[in-house]
Amino acid sequence: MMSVPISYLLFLSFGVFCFGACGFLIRKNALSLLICLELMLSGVNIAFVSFSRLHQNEAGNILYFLVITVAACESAVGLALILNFFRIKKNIRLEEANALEG
Amino acid sequence: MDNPTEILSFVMGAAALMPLLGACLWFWIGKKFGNEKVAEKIVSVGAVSFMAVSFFCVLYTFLNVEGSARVTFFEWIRFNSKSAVNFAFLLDPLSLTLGLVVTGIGTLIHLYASGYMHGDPGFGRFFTYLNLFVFSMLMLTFSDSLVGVFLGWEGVGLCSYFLISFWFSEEENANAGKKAFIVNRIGDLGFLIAMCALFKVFGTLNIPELLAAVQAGSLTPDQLFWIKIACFGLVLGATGKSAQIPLYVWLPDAMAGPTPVSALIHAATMVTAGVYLTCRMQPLFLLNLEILEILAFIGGLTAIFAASIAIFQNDIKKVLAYSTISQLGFMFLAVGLIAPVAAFFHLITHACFKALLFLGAGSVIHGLHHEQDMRHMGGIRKKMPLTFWTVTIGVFAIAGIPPLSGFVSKDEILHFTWHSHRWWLIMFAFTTAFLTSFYMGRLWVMTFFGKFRGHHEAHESPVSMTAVLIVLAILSAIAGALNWPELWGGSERLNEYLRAVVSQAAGEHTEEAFYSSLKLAGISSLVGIAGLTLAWFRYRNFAGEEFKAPIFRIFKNKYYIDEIYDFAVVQNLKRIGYALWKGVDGFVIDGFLNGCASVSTKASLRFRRLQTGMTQQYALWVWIGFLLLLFGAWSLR
Amino acid sequence: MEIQQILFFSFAALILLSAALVALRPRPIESAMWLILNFFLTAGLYILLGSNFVSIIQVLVYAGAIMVLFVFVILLLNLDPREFGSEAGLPWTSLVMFIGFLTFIVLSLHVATPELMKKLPEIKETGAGVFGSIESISMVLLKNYVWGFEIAGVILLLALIGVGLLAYRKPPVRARAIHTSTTDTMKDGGAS
Repeated sequence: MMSVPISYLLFLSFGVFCFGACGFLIRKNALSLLICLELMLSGVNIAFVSFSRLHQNEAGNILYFLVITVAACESAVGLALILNFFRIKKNIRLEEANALEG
Repeated sequence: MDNPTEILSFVMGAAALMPLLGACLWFWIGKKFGNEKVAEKIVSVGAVSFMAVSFFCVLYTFLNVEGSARVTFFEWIRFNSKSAVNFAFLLDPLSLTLGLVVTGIGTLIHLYASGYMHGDPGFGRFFTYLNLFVFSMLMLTFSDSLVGVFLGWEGVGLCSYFLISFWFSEEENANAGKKAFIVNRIGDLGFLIAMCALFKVFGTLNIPELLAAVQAGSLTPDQLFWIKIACFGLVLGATGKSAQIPLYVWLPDAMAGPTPVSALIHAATMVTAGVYLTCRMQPLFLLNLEILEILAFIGGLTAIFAASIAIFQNDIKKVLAYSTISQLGFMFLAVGLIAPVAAFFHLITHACFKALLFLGAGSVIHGLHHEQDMRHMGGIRKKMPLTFWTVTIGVFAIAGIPPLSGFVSKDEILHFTWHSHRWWLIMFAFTTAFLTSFYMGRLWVMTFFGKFRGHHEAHESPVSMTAVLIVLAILSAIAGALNWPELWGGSERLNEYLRAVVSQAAGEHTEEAFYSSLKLAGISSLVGIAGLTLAWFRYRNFAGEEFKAPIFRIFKNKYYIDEIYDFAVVQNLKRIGYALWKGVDGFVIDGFLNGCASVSTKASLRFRRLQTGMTQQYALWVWIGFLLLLFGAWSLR
Repeated sequence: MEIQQILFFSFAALILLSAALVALRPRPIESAMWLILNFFLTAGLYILLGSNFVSIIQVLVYAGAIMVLFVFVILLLNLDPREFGSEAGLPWTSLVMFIGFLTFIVLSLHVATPELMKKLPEIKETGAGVFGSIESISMVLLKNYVWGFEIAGVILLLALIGVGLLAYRKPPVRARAIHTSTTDTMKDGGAS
């Protein structure tokens, strides 16, 4: 089977996570934000599965299942929120969601 | 309830709790029934009977306690594993005697007040305060720890404040209450200092343990120093509560309260608390004889000082107030000359005849429709015969006409003063005796003889008041028998009884001593009669003229002491207060707070630009923070 | 260099590339498509790591169910570019990319230690079948982590209820008005 150092896998995981985070801040529409959130979770998943492999322990894989459970819930709720936002504002531009402005 | 201690604790608990229970009830009943006659009936009957129960409880204890006893109700404050303050009563001759005076005179005055206060809107309130006062006074009397005594001490001060400003709708009364309260605080500071010092030395505040430790001796110089501080504190406390120089100024103003209050609190019981305390702590003072000397001097000076003011007062209650201060000075004189039994004897007789005089004055005031100025009285002995005769007994008692009680007790004090060979004190004491009989004679003559100069027709007081007067008159007449000197064939029972607790030089029994005491008695009664006679001739045909010479103005204006205090203390305090208000509060504190407010306003005007409402920017801040944390963790590795 | 290492590096490169495209493409539908590709590639990586069951779940649930949901919503809204909002300016983008890069560097510094540079061990036989197989995972999941498993179910239920509450909309007034009176519909026609 594959034999690379664990740190390479972690580099990959960090890379995916950071791309997700960057996208989360760069994109200006709510749907892209949710998609980038999924990307970040995916980066975390890579780290979990890699550690599971490192320690020959199924706990990491089980955490993967818990993460996708949360991801599924989060995307469902997030999409419902976006739908409501769209109903009210007739768009999904984040510039419109500035009620927190001081 | 088969063992005597349990019975005692039950009886004493009842004695203390009945007034407290009353205090809770009367307020409620007075509120509930408003001003109706039913409420008055309930309150007056209830208050008097509660007080009577309390009196009989104390009497039972008095008769059943051999020597002294302690009853503990519960543990109150625990300092460490060894020492604690208990909620406990110390039943010894000293406290039981004072307890009998408090509850006995208290019962009579409650009875009197139910007639005197008839129809007052604050009837229930009045008896609430009065009962609360009796409870506090019993705490002060019986507590076996200084903490408990302090509780009672503050309690009576508080009730005194309530009762002086009882008719608070007039500003003068409210101010008198405030004055009494504030002046008493100075004395209380002394008490607190004494408590702290004693706790520092002995690690306990229980009076029997304290006194035992003092009497065991072997104290280091350091401990003696702190005991001296404690004695100073106690003297300050006593001068505050018992209205001695320099803190006497509150008592004359305290006459703003209803007359029964003046009789109970400001003549018979509360003001004697200082005497009681100094007698109670006598072993401490015996270690510091120079402080006793100071105490005697304060007492003598106060006695003559107050008596000289009393001559020139026209308000009947003010005369009696200065007379009280003067008599308290006599008591302190005796305490200072290590004659606590004489002081206590005078305390008891004074409680009787001064309560009688105050109540008699109250009866006169009541009969003349709240006329207090003696210049508007006169010639009312026919209209108010019972009041006249009882007050006459009181006046003769305080003036020292044998064989009334005042003669015996005052003679004992004069006797001790004479044998102390301190000429200042002897002069003070005899002059005061003369002045006392003179101003009492003046009061008596101006009130009851001559032409009637008032506006309202006088009428005799109701029977609930005159009955009390008669009882007190009998007591004033015969109380001297308590301690009739052995030299004259008496038994000196009070002396025997109290000697277990306080120490006093024993009298001699030689023939020489007998003649010397007879000589003294002769002088003192002559002095008394001379004062009364002078007053009779001076005021028999009083028609409104007064002393005109400018020298008398200083007496009339009470030596300008109030003005001096006002100038030296009150105005300066006000100035300090003003400076603190403007300088510290206005400039420093408000400035600091306003500065904080304006800085944060300006800062937030800047910072609000960060609040763009764009959540992604917020997220970037979170991210930067996270990055810094990560970096910090890495650099610390 | 072994074939699997070559496979790993090429998968890794493709995953990073697709992730970058997800983050950088302006239109949501493009992002979603690149994300699906990213998920498929990640599934391949998981096979290389020996977690076969996880890889299948990745394809079925992530790339299948969740992304279908995304795509469905994107198509449902059917937005035109004006409704996406304007793109972020260059300063903002470069700042974010810089911070992201820094984060990546610092995170990598954390794990770039000699003991983590050792190669992964060979897969051993666990008690219940090979590592990563469905028996092995389900034994552990239903024995040691059964409470977590149950709670995951509860979370899904709660999400279902929450989404129902969020997405529920009262029937339009017009639908009821038709039943009560026909005249009112003319006045406020089209208003709701």
